[in-house]
Amino acid sequence: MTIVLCLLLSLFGYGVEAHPRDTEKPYPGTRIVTSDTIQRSGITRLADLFLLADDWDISTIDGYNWQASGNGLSTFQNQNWILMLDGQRMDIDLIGMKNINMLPVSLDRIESVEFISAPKLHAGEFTDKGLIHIHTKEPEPGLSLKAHYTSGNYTGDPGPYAHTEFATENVEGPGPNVSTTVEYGNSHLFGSIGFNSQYHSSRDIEILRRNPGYDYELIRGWIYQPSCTIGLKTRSGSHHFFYGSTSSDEPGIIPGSASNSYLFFFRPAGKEIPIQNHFTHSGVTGSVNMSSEKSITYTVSYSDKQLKRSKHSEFEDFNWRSKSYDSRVEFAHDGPSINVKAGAGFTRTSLITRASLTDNYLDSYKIYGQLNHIIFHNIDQTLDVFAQSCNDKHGIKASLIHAADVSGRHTISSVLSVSQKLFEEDNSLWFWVDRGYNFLEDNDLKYTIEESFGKSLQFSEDVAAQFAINEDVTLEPSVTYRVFRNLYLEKQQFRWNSEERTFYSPTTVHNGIDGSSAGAALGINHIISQAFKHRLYYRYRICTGGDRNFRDELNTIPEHKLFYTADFSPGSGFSLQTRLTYLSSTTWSDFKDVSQHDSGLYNSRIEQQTFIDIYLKKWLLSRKIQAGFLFRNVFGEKVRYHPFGAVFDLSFHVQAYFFFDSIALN
Amino acid sequence: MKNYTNIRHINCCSATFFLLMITVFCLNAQTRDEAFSTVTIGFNTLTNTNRNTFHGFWKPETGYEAYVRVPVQFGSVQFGIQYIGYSAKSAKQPDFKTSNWYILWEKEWRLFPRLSWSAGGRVGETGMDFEKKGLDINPGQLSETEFSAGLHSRLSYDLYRNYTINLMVSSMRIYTRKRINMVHFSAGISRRFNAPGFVEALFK
Repeated sequence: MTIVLCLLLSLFGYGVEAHPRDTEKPYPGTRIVTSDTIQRSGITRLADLFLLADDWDISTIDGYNWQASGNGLSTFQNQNWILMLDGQRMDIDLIGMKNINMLPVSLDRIESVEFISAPKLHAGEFTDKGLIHIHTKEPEPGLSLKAHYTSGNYTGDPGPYAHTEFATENVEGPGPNVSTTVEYGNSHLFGSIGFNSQYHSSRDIEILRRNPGYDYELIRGWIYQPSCTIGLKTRSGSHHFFYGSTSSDEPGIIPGSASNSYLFFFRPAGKEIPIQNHFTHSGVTGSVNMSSEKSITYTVSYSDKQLKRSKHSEFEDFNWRSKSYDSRVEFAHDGPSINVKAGAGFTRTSLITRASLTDNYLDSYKIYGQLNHIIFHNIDQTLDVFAQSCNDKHGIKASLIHAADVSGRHTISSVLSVSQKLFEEDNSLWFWVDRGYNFLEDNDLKYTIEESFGKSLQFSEDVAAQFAINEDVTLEPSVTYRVFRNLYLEKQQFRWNSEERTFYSPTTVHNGIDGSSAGAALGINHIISQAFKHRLYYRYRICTGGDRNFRDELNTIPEHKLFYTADFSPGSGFSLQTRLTYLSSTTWSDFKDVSQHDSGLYNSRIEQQTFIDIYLKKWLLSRKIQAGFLFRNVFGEKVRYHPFGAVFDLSFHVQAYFFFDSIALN
Repeated sequence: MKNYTNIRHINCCSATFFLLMITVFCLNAQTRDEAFSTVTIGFNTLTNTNRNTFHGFWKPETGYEAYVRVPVQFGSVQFGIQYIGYSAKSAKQPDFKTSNWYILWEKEWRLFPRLSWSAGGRVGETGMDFEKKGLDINPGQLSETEFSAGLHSRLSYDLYRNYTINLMVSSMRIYTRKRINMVHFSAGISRRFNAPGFVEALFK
C-alpha cells in the first residue's frame, strides 16, 4: 500500500531521495515519549506514562494498577504486552496483573519510552501484543545526585463533616513517592545506585463499599525499590548490568509503615485481595562490535517474583513464586543499503508452588531475522520473521514494513503482519491452572474452560503518514486494521448477592473466539510561537466483525478518543501544560447487573467523559530543581475507567525533581 | 436536583475563573518588574465572615496569617500560612484548628501613589486537627488534609518607608466531599526588604 501511495506521489512530481533506514523515524504504531514530555506533563508515577501514549487504551480500578491495550492489539483482559528496560525484558506479570509501577526505575532516570502498538521485531521480541520499552539516561560525567518527590491529594475527604450527618468515607491521595539516585560516569564506566519508595492506598468509596471487611491496614502499603546499574564502554562495545528489586512486605523501613499490603482486583474472585509481592530482576545486556558494519548484541537476565496474600486476608495463600531465565544473542550487519539481523533466544519460566503440577517449568525457544533494504529510490522495506517454540508447539510471526520519504518533508509507512500466538506465550493463570495450579479450587472459585486452548492467529495492517504542511504544522493521519482468530476470553456475570455480600461470579473461559476491528486517527501538531505549541489527537475505533464475546470486549474500549495538549513556555524556566481528554462511553457486559448493589455506585456503562489536567512547573537554582503543581480533573468531573473503579475527582499533586549533575568531576 | 445544579454552577464558575487566571497569567507574561528584587514579610489577623451549612456546626475564632511575598517576572508570588480555630456549637462535634499552607499569585495595580490594589488566585492544603474531647473519634480521623483553592484581593497603603498596611479578602473553597466555602477578611502590616542574593539565585 505504501509503495502504491509513494508511486502516486512521485507521479504528481514530488522529489524522491534514497536513504538508508532511519531507526528513529516514527513508524506506524510507535509513540516515543521523551523525558522532556514526561516533565512537561507532570505525571507522578510510572503507570501515568500510559496517559501520554495516545494510541494505547487504559483502564484502572484503583488508579495504581492500570490495564492497557496497545491500539487494539489486545483487550484489557489479556495483559500480555511486553515490558522492557534498557534492552532487557522485565517479567513483572503476576497471574493477570501487570503493574508497571512494580518496575524499579524512577521517572527522573528515564530518557525516553517507546510505546509500540504495531507488530514488528523490536529488541529480539515480536510486538504483536504491544511493547513498552523504557530507556534510562546514562549518567553525566562525574558524580551526580538525582531525586524525585511527589505527593498528591484526592479531593473528597469528609473533613469536619465526618462528625456530622454528612459523613462519608475518607479518601487518600497517591504518595508520597520518593526516589533518590547516586550516579557516577566517565568515558569508560558508569554506574548508579537508586532507591524508590511508593505509598498507595485504596481508600476509594467504590472499592470500600464492595469490600466492607477490609480494614485500613489491609488497603494501604509501601513499596520499596532498590536498584543498581553498572555500565562499561570500550572501543569494541558496551555492556550494561542492571539489578532491581521491588518489595511490598518489608515493614518498618519508613517510620509508621506498619502494614504493607495493597489491593489487587482478582477477577475470578470478583473482588480485591490484599496482597504483598516481591519482584527481583538482574541482567546484563551488551554489544560487541566486530567491525564497523558487524556487531553482536546479547542479553542474559534472571527474574524472581512472588505473590503472597496478606496474612489478614480471607483467601488462602497464592502460593505462587515464579522464576525466569531469559537469554538472547543477535548478529547485525549494517550495510550502506542493506541491514540484516539474525538472532536466537531461550527463556525458561518455572513456577514454585505447593500444588502438584504436571510440569513446573515452561521452555520457550525463538529464532528471528530481519532484512532491511532500499527497494525503490525513497522506499525502504523491512521483513521481520520470528519463529517460536513452546511446549512442543510452534508459531511463526512475520511483518513487512514499508517506509517512504517524499521530498524530505513527508513520510508514509505501513506495517503488515501475520502472527501465530501460542497459548503458552501469555504465561497466564489459565496456563498454570491447566497444569494443576489450584488456587481457584482452594478458594472455591468456580470456573469452566470451554474447549481446549490452542494457537491463535492475528493479522494486522497499520498505515501512518506524516505530512509537514509547513515548518509549524504537521499532520499525522493513520489507519489500523486487526483480525483475530481463535482467541480465548473470560466471561463472568457479576451480580450483587445481598445475602453473601459479594459480587462473585463463576468464570467461563471461552475458546475459539474470532473478531476484527478497525481504527483511524489523526494527530495535528502546531507550533504557534517559540513559547506556545499545541497538539490535537483524535482516534476512532470500531469492531468490524466477530462473535458476541469479542464485540463485548471491544465495547470496553472507547470508540472515540480525543486529546488536546497545549504547552505554554514564556521563559524564565516557567511552563504550563493543559491537557484535555475526551473518552466516549463504554459498556462492560460482564458487569451488566452490578447496579443492583444497594449503594448505587456501580454501573456497567461508563458515560462519556471530558476532563482537563493542568501542570505548572518552574525551574529553580539554575535548572537544578524543578518544582511543579499538577491539577488533575480541574473541573471536578466524575472520571471513571472501570465499572468497579474509583471515581476520580479533582486531585492536586506537588512534585519536585532534583538534578545535581556532575557535582564532583573526575 | 437543585443542589446538583448549584454544584454544577459553582464548578462552571470555578472553571471560568481558572481559565481567566490562565489568560491573565499569559497576558502578563512579558512584564518584568523588579523580579526577585524585594522580599515582603507580613502578618495579619483574620476572621471568617461568611455563613453556610458548615457554620451551623462550628463557630470560627479569630485567626492569624503570616506570609512571604516575592515579585516575579509577572506579578508576585506569596507563600503563607493561615491558622484559624473553629469551636463546635454542639457536643457531638469536636473543636478543630485549621492551618492552611498556600501559594498565591497576584498582580498589583497602583491606584494612587501610596495606594495599590492587587488580585489573584491561590491554591494550598488545609490541615485540620480535631480535638478528641471525650468524643469517640478514630485516631486515624484526628487529623486530615484537604486541597483548597480560591481568589484573593488586597488593598495596600504604604504607611512609612517600607511598612505597608494591608486589607485583604479571600474566598476559598476546601475540597472536601461536601465542599466548604470560606470568605476571610484580614488586616495587618507588612515590611518590604531588599532581597538577599539567594532569592534571585533560587528562582532563576
